[in-house]
Amino acid sequence: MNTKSFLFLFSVIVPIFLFSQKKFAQLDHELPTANTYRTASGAPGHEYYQQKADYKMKITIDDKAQKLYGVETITYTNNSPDKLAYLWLQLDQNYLNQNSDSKLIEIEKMEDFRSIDDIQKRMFFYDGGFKIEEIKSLTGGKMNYSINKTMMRIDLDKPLLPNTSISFQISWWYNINDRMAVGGRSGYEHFPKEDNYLYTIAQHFPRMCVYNDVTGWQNKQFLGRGEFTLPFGDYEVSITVPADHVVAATGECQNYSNVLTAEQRSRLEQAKKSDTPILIITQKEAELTEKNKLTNPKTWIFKAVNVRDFAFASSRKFMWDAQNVKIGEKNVLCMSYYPKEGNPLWERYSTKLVAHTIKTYSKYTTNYTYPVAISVHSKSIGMEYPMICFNGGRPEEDGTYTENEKYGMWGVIIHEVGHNFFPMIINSDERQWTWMDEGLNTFVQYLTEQEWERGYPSRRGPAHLIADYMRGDKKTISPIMTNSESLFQFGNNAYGKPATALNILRETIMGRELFDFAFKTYCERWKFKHPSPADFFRSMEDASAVDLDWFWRGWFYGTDPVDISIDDVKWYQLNTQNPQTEKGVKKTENESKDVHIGVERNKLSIQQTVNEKDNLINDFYAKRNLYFVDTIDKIEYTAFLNKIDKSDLEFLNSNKQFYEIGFKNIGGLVMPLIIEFTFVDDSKEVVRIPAEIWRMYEDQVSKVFIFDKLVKSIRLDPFLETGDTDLLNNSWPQTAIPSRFQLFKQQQSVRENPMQRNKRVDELNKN
Amino acid sequence: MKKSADHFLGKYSISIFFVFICSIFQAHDSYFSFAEIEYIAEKEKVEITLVITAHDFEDYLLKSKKISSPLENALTDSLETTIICKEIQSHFVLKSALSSSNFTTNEFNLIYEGYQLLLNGEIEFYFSAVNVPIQKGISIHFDLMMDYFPLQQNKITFTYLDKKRTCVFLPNSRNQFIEIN
Repeated sequence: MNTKSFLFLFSVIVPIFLFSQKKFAQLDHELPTANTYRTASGAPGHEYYQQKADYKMKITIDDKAQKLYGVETITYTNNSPDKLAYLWLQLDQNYLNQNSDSKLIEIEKMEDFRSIDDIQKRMFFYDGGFKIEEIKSLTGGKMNYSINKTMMRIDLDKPLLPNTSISFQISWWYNINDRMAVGGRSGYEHFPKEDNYLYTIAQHFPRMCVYNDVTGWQNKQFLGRGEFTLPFGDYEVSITVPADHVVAATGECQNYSNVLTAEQRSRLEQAKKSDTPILIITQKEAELTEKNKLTNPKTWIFKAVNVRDFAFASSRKFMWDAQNVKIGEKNVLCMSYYPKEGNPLWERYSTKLVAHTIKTYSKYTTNYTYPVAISVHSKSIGMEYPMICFNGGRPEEDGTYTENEKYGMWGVIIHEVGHNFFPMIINSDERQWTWMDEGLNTFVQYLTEQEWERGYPSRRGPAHLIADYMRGDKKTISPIMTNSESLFQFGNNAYGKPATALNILRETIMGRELFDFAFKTYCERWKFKHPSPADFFRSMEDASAVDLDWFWRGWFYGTDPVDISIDDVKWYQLNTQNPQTEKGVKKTENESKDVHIGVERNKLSIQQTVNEKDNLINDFYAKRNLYFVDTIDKIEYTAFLNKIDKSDLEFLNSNKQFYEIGFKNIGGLVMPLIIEFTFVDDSKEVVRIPAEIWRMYEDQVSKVFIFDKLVKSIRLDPFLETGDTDLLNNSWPQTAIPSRFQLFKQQQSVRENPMQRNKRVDELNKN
Repeated sequence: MKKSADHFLGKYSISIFFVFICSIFQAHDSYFSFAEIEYIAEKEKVEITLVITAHDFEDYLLKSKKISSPLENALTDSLETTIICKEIQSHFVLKSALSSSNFTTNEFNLIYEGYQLLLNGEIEFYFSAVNVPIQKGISIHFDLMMDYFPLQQNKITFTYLDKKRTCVFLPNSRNQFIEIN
């Protein structure tokens, strides 16, 4: 081959190759090169390391002024191979500073200030943020530090060498935020009726940043959405609060003998042996405590081992119940703390939900190994910390609640308790990738909800629930692989779409057995470590032998929606060569052809045509019977029969039906074809074709299906598995799909809060 | 404070209500609503389903003092239901249009047909409009909750003669025109 012709061929072949490789190209360029810290299989490498940060902390809550005072000693161990000249710490409270970046970067227009209160809101002053008082070494020498908004750098006199530690002390205080006015993941709620406070406290201390092989120091500023990236460590925390407060915290309380009554301790011991919740503080007792406010202090001491953070809740309003659940060989004490305002929902469900959640997550991910799991009632929000989370779900003042409120409360507790696994145990970089904790957690939340109640109305997970979001202008959709702060549609993108994608992998692409093994492998590999997206993508492939690069590319790196249509259907039958059969078929076909209206009308209006009057007009062609089986037909058929095998003849006479179906990829996101055929006898058959059918031609493909029976109708994605955004083009013949409006009209009924209605019925009956 | 040399803030209407936005901290808010609009040409009728995250909408209505009780209770009260419908109708407006800039002045008169609270946390509102001949297309204004939630994104899917078109509405693009030829 000469050079010219080679080049010509090359110029033709290469574009075709590249074109066909677009959606199925490997992720070699997108994923980081594997190394000794992180392997190409997705597992931690033989030189994987992670830093350790241990904290000894003394916290005091000033319940009169709603201030928090703290002193902490941090011991930071450098397990990296690098010398560290300085340390970075996170000052997350600073995002509530009056001039914080999180406020400055909010887009505003004059239209946002249409009322006095809009302006008041804009000018609302809350003196938030850490007031750092001192940073010193354990020998008392002051350390140099520099604060850059939500990050603080401590400069070291000499670099911290590999495999060495440094300890230092920080003193600080801050004004605790009114969560209902200022907002925030933590803060206080004031109950004006009896003038009490319920504190849910977190991000309350300067916390070490992560230093690792992926990001170096993860010191990206906290802008409010991308949450926290934290190293593991051990905590010893003493919390001083008014003597009648009850404190729930990350870890195990070390001094119950000092802070609980003998009766409470006895109930707690009983709860440790019970598989149903036991009340340690009853509603009656809590109501009594909240009336008689004590001001003398009491100190609660907690220890937590190998956790990435510490949070606590404190109030004199708390009821408290607990039960045991066994995970593997370990007993876990599941507990709930809630004010009377949370009842009757909380006493009935919270702790049972905690137990169910850690049990189910342990099955799908990795065993829960912490000693306690706690759910605290905190109006309006859901927020997670190791072993403890703050959850909404408040009934109405009359004690009734709607069914929606109940499901909302169930969902938030399962979700937040589930965060113990993502990211508290499988400790991903939340500041960078929201989906790695929220998306994975929302997926397992879905599995957990379905095991709580059959047909649980999960908000996210099933593929069809994401369809409305995924259609439309792609400019307004971010790829899942987008930094947390830059996501359009945080909820749909970081929670809904990844959860849907994993559900599709499990139900449609990989199957439950392969998926569950691979997902668990990822979780076991990265428990108590810091995984990155590549570690997840690679582990899922490594443990399943399924090439998923096309799936990650489409679902995680792309914004295309799924919209695959049935473009056309062609029906074929085998030619039996038997003239009797074939000419009969032709006759039937011709007779059933549509006839022009003029032909029908002429039958009446033209009484006799010329050739009907004059026999001489009709010649051979006019008189011949096209469907007559003549001698030649018979001879030819006999000759054919003599040549053909018996088995081939049987096949020709088998009456097989051939259907060539054309499929169009309108949305762009390649997916498997799941096709349901309904036959004339109403029986059904489902055929599943892997997504690789699109590997060469991404826009249009065809496939031939052979059946014994005639097909009456065809449906694409009949089980709503793929998130197809337009179901109108999924059927043959085209079937009308009722709109939500039409469905509503069909099932219209009277609605009322059923519990309130029931109350009214009871009252009427009494009267 | 000046908008420009001769536009003063005083020109804006001031309504008194008290709103604090703490929404960015509520990690589970959705900021997404969706409308399914179907035009039935032979009847010159529009059927609409508006799908909203109930929690977002309730938060918005309660904090802007448009309703005084939780959404589900408010919807059992005819007066509050009327207020809710008016709120929706002022932020979800349909007009027949010749082009994106040339539309009839008469808005479609949306008739409230009912609602359904779904257990997955969504609420669906149903509206219809009759005697609404569409010429070249339809102009849609859909900025429900956008003044309250800066991250709000609304979408519609418009179905006409079995063909679907989708439009996205953002705080900086609150109007869209759909040609129906």
